[in-house]
Amino acid sequence: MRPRTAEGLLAGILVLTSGIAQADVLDRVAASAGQQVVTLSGVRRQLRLEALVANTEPEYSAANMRRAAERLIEQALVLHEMELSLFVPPTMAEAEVALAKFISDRKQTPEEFRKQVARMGFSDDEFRKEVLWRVSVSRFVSFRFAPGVQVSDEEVEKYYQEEFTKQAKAADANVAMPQLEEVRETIYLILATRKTNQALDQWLAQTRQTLKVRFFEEALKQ
Amino acid sequence: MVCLLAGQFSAWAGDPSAYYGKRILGVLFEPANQPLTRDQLGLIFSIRPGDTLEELALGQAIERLWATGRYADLIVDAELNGEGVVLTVRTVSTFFVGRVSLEGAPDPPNPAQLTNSTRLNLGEPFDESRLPQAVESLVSVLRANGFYNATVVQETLPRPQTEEMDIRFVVTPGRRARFTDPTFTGDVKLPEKKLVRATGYQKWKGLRGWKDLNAALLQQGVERVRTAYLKADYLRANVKIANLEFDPEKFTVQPQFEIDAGPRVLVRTEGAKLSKSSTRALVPVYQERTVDRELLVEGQRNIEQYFRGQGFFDTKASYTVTGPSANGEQTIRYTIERGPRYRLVHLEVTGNKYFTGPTVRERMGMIPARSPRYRRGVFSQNLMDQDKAAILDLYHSNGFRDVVVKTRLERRWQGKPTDIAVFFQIEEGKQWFVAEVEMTGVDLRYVEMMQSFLTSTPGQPFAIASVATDRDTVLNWYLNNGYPDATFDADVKPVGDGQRMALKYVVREGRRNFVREVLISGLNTTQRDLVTSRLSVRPGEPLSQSSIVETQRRLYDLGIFAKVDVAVQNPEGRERNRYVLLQVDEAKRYSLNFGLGAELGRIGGGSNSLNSPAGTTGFAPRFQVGITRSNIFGLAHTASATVRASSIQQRLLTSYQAPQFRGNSNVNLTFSTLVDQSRDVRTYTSTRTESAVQVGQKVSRSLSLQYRTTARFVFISKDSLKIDPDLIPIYSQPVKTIAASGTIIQDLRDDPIDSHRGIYSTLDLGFAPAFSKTSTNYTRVVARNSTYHPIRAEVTFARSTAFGWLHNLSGSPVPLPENFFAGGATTHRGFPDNQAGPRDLITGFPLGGQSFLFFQHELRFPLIGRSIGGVLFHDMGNVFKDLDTLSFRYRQRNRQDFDYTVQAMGIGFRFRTPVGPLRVDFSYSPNAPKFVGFEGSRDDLINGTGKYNVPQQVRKFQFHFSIGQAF
Repeated sequence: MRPRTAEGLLAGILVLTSGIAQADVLDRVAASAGQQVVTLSGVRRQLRLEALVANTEPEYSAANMRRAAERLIEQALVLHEMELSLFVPPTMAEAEVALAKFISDRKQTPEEFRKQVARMGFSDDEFRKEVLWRVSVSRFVSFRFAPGVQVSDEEVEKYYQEEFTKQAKAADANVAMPQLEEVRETIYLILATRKTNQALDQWLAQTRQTLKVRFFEEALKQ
Repeated sequence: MVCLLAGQFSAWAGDPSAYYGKRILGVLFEPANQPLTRDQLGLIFSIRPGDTLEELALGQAIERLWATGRYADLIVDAELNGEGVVLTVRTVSTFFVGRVSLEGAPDPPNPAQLTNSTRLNLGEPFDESRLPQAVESLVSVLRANGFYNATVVQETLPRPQTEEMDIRFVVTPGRRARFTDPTFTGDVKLPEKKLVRATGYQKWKGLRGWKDLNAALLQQGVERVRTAYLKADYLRANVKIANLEFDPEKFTVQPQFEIDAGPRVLVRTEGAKLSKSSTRALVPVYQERTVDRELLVEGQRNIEQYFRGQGFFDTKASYTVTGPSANGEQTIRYTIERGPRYRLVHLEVTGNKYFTGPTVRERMGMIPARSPRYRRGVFSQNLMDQDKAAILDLYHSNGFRDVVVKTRLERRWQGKPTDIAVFFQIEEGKQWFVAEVEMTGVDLRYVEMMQSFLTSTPGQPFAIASVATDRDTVLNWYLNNGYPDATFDADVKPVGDGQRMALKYVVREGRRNFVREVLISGLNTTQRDLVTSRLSVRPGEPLSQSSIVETQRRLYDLGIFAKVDVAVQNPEGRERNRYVLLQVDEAKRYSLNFGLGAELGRIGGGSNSLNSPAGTTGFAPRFQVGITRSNIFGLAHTASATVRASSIQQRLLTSYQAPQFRGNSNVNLTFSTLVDQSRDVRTYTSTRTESAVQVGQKVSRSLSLQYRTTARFVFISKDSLKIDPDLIPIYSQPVKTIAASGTIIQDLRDDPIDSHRGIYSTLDLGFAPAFSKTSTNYTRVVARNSTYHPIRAEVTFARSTAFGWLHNLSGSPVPLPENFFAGGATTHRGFPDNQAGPRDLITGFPLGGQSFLFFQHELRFPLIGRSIGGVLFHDMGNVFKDLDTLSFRYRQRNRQDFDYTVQAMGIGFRFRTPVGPLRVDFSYSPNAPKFVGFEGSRDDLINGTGKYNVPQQVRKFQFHFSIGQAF
């Protein structure tokens, strides 16, 4: 039977049976940025993943859907930049190490965690790939944005004076304040991370404008 | 059924997993008419009946469809049917920008400026939300050009078949505002009247009011005010237009200038003479319009280089800055110590074994002193460094990786205080070779071909430049064969013990794109076949950049399109088969052209007086007007009519041209008709009517053929004939000629306008059969051969030989207009125009002849810079009564003998202009012909009064003005 005839027949069957079962929107485009797209199923998967990590149940409210879509769009933009940069991603072995640490931090056995993953609708392989992806993104952000970041001694001192001591005292008023030199390295890392994130945010804002990010609100309300 | 429905609702309530894991019964696309073909959809979606529905796979299928760029939305519906599920993919197609047209737009601004301001680019995805921005941009451009009441209405016209969206902007410009008195605020310093005049906003310096506003004029005004400040030495002046005050009642715009003149900055030089224009060119504070240390140091360096280039190799310059003084002036003083003036007398290159001396030298800019052009030689430290780099490049690109070049400057060469010598010592080192070349990633079908392109091959000298060339060659090939994403990486490693390199080229071809269809728009008058027959881009073929450019070129060559845009639709989308959009704007069909010119030469002498048969100096102004209608019948045919009038010639020429006749780009057809009344042969005045049909055929790049049929009727005014009265009845007969002729043209010159090497040859064969008792009947051959030989870098030896023979087949004398007339700027410079050859034995006026032979030789050389050149020439030859009388004899036997070879030598000057070299030649002919003439008027001649046998001579000294080389 030729494909067109088969299709016509199928269409006919569908017309006849349409009164019996109705079509539902299974999946669709939820957001786009140029040639990058985020699907509704992708948004749902993102919420399930976040729930898995947070050890809670996924909530598919419109606000959460929107937030997850924004997150995925950002990842799509980063993926595009990774491809352009010819960045060499980490291997699965590195992702396994990160995963093992994550499981042990949750004080779960691998078997318990596997069951939890399956309950959220992921296979082992799918979840490992998600972990690998997140490790890649994290490493790429450092590769791409960290080299341009500089933290001066003045900034370290200012952070020590204004934020570090305040936070330490807020946590424990009687705590013995460490000297600047003892925590200089830590403060440097904090500020460097902060600046890297700022650089990433700036780049994302710029890229979103260039690629004309679009959200399909109807999809995100489903 | 209710249970099923209930089950259906409960399956939907946020749990699409009810569908996953089920067998797919069918996949439908809605609407049925999709932007991709069924096969493409199947390949890209990759989910088929019989597969198991999985969440991840479905999501990825949607991503792949989206990546094609063809869709604005994608929704997948699922419907349970028994144990299976039917999927329906509902799509909304993207539209792409098609034709952007403007109606009612004024000029200025020009249409391209307006269209570009919309940022709606052909073939890119159409986004409705950008239309308001586009309208705003248009209004903004119109306002900037004085249209303050302009309105723009946009209209979109979708073409769903090809997913194109045409956008039409209807512009109502309204009135254009005019300039009015500008105001100048801030630290102005210059008189306002002077600044107003400087802006150029007034018509006729204010006598006729103000000009209309347009953006270009406005900006020019700002530049002109800046220049006024610059000329007054306010180098730091800051000039800008702070505001444009629009008066809606008077409809005028007042530019409000804000000026900060700053101090006057005087740049002075001492110690050496430097003209003001040279100072301005060398000291960059003028161009940059600011003064800072970096610019002053750069000026110092430039001044040093300038004088060193003149032979003052020890020049040292320094600067001081004084002020600002009480009146705000700042003075920058450059002190120049030139030192002695040297000559580069000796330049030596040693150590070169692989390359010969001339090969190395021709890459060098330094020139030892020689007359007349380089009396001091050409030398500077910069030049020495550049020459060293050039020699290093030469060796590196031939495998000498380890070459070392040492330079040495020796003063007081051979004891002379101002003579210097420069030495280049080359240590070549070992030559490296390519051991092997490995190429991976190339489709097996292309491997052999790719290898044939490579410059780096085993056994060849190794050079990084060659690797770069290979990269460019390979990537160009891929780009021109449908692979836009191809990449090329090279890895180079030494191997073995000797100087050998192994090359590894890694190619990633990427996806291949093909042409789906070529969509043509914009044809109103032009026939579609005319365009489609010239497409280099064809459906089914790989999408090639060079084919796109070639298509554009071929369509522009038709001469009927003002604009030809070619773009690929959906350039960012990842689809295999692409629409190529071809959008044309037909040019205006009518054009007018005007020309003014003049002839200056020995063309004078009066029409009634017979006193000057060899001509006197005369001046003939010339005027020309023509009208052309192009693209007749939509076939790129052109009809034109031109009228030319001067004191010695009046002409009407009409022509009809069919270029690229019948779709053949190598064949053109021309019909022409000419009515001409001229006195350029001073012996008579004639009225000529001529019609011709010519077919031109381009056989190859250098060879072309012409086939011609001509019908010619020439009436000679009996009263204008300045010959023996006994001959008047014979020569005053009307001339009737029908002739068939053919021409072969071979052009192997490097530059047709100013040739330096090559050959140019033409051969014209004609036959005029007898068709009536009084018609002409002859065969004719005219041949010309010119060759050009470069002697040194800028010196050319050019020679030309021209031969013609008319073989009269009838019993009657050949009518005067059919004879050969020659002599003048392009044949023999020893003669005025058309004065060579036999003369009437009574009046001395030229009669022409039935054969001619000319030899011309020129030595062409530069004189001053690149714009003025010189020529030494020698012309010899003559027009002869017949082939039998052709002679190389030097001496003229007597005043009735004209069949000898006249010699002329001289000097000429060539001034380079955009339209070719402007030429003036001065010649001297030692054996210019002597003859006898007649003093008196025509009436005196006819009545037998007047003075006979008056000794006359063609002047030995002649001059010629013209454009273009002699040959």
